[in-house]
Amino acid sequence: MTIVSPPGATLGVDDLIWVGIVEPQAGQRHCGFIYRIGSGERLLHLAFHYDLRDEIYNGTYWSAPLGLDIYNQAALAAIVSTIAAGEARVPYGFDFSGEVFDKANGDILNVPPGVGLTCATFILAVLRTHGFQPTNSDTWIVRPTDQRWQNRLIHYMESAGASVEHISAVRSQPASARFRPEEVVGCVAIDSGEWPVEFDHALALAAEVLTDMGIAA
Amino acid sequence: MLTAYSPTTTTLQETRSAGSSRINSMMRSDLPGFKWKTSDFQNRADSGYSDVLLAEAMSKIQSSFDRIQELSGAHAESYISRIGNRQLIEPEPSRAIEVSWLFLALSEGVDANPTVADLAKYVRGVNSIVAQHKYSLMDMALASLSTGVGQISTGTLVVLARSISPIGSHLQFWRSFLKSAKMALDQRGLESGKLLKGLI
Repeated sequence: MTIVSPPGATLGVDDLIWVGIVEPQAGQRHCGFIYRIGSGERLLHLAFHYDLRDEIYNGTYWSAPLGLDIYNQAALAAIVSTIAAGEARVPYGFDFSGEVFDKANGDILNVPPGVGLTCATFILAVLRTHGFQPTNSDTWIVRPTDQRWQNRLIHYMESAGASVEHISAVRSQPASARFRPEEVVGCVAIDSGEWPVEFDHALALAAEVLTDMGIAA
Repeated sequence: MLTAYSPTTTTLQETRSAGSSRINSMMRSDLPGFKWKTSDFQNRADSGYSDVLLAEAMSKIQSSFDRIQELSGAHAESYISRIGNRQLIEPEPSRAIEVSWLFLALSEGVDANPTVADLAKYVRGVNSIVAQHKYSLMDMALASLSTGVGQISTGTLVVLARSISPIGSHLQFWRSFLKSAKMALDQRGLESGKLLKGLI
């Protein structure tokens, strides 16, 4: 049984919010929320450092509906649309333990340098802020390739003009456990009755997502 | 088994003019500290002047919140202008707080199927209060919502619970609201544990 449907597949009429995943270049995957509002679908995703984008969804992502009942799908779609309509500025970073959503109002915090989210942890952070726990994040471990990936992204952040303070703070932190897009997509797509997902289960779900996408795990 | 959700059926706009009976029942859902005079509305409600009633009810809700603000002292702070040796104490200009979402939630009717765009209005309404850290006002809203929970649609109940949850620990009536919401969902034969997972 597949987890994600291919690009171009018609999004289900009974669903209101999905996760989407794409591989823009070999080995680099990206994910975001796809949500239905009015008669169309939009894509909200953290493209990069202070680059949260809300766009008309063009059907180019692999996708799966969130594993939520329709009422919570509607609620989350409404919350995501509200974030999209705001002026949230989300820094890029790897420290998921750092909070970027204000518990007081669900808005984005003015976080200290070094704290931020990836495209994948952005999804988890939105869900976590509103009471959903798709992952048991404490079970995630730092893998040997995580540091190399983080170094590459730090280089990109420098190229993109991230502040010296932010880069320096990110560099000074020990390698964080990486929540890969395919892991997050696999976790949030399964029925919420199975949440929170442990790391080992997430690995298996991620392998299924990659298989669906025709990518060797 | 959850009821099928249709994002294109009754909208909030439609429910606003849906009739006077729900308005009257809402009138009985008193905001603490504010006296509704249901009889004031009864005759006109029966006559079908729902728009007039809506406007009047919304005005009363807004007035009650304004009054609560004054009483709580949240806006009792003054700023002082010095002119020579004189001090002129002037009231701090207050920012308007949008509470029409509360009225809509209480008046839409239990069978309404609000769209995502409708639900986003509730999220924005909640955020508009929370952004100003008016927790006492949010508590008033929760108290009112708890009382009128039987009139609130499932979609609206869930989005309110989710959007208020980040500040739940600051609110006196958060737990009682959740308890009321859970009971209402149970009475509708829905899986309250699943709908409110992570909150209760």
